[in-house]
Amino acid sequence: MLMKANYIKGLAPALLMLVVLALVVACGGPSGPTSSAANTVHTVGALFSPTTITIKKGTTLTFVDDADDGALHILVIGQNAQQASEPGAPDFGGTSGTRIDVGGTWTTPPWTTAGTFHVACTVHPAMNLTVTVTG
Amino acid sequence: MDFLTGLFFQTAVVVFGALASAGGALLYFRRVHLERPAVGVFNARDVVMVFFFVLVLPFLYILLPSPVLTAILCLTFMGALYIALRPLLRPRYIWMIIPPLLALNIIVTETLLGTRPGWQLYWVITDVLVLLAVVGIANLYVQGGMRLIHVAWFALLLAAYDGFFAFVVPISQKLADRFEGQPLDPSIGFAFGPYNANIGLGDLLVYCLFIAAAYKGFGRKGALVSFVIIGIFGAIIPSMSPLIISAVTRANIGITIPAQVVFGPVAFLTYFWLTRRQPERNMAGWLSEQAAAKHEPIRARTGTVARANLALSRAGDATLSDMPGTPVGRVDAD
Repeated sequence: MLMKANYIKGLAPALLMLVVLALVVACGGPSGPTSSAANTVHTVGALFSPTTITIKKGTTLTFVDDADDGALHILVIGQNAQQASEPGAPDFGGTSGTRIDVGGTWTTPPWTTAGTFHVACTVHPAMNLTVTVTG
Repeated sequence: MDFLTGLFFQTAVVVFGALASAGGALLYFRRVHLERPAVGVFNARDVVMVFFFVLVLPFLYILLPSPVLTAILCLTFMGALYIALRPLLRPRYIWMIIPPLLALNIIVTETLLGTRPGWQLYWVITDVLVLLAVVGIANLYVQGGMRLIHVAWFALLLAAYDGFFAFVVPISQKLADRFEGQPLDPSIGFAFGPYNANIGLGDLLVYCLFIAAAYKGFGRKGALVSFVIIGIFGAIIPSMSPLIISAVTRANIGITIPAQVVFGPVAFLTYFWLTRRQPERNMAGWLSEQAAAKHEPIRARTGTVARANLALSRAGDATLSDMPGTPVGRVDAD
């Protein structure tokens, strides 16, 4: 019994160190742009959900093409299926746009400029997303 | 987005697609004589077989990964285009045209669909491919013995199929979504401003089959009636109704036209209306009439087989070949 108590007592510093390490890893990570669940937009059928989103400057945005009700989407900066130039918006793949197939995800580069931007799908004209980037 | 502009654009694209393919099939039928494969005369059993594939393929298309789907479409288009162009061009020219066109379609799909001009280029290439393919395949069937009665039944079955899979089990929408933005979308379409409209290969095939078979069976009157019903019941009415439905249900996207729901029953009735006036003429009847009128179709520039086919059809083989159960295209001149 004494041996067991000593054993546990001996493990305590190691366990403590593991917990601390885990916390460091969880909190640390890259110091650059981050993305959280709040910065996620789903493509449900041929619509964005939500259709407007506010994110912080320097963060990224993740698009999730739902497997259940998904389709191929070609995302661009612009509105009503048409690409447009919006200075300060991140790169969406130029003339090819960014293709997300059913069940796929894509995380944008960081949004480094504050302002209001628009994301559209060139396949589905009804898909319009407004992204507000705050400083 | 302006609803009326979208409606007009959708209708224009569908009417163009339907009438261009029907007109192309008719012109091809009048001017080009296809080599018929040694598969026997087209009959009711073949209708069932074709319908079976039509039933199964959509599910396959939905389940297959995109690269596999593209590979299958490439092979399918290659075969169909080869059939269509074989009587018109030498094989070396055909192979100089088909693979580059298919490759161009895939490249444009992968690199330019982020832009509207890219979409327009994509549709022009796709439209050419689909138009040639559907005209060739329809003529292969009709010149191979498929009659208007077969097409009428096929259209009627498709009407039930389209209705079921559009309204009861909405798989048609999923299928249309599956092809959108992918290489070799089997449809004729175009993009303009925010609008993107198209009409599927299945519908176009029915129209091509119908007009070619109607012309073969009933001459000029059959062709004229076909143009009218294809334009009204195969294009204008279906293109307007789903847009209105989609506007209130699922926004203006992925427009699926259950065209056969409207066209199928009309096509079926039209067949019976035509047969009340005169019996349906078969391919042999049409060929003999052409020969009698000294207006023979352009023959295939394909060497021995084509010449042998020509000789046989002149000698009356076509009369035999259109009789049920009699194999056709049995020429082994090479």
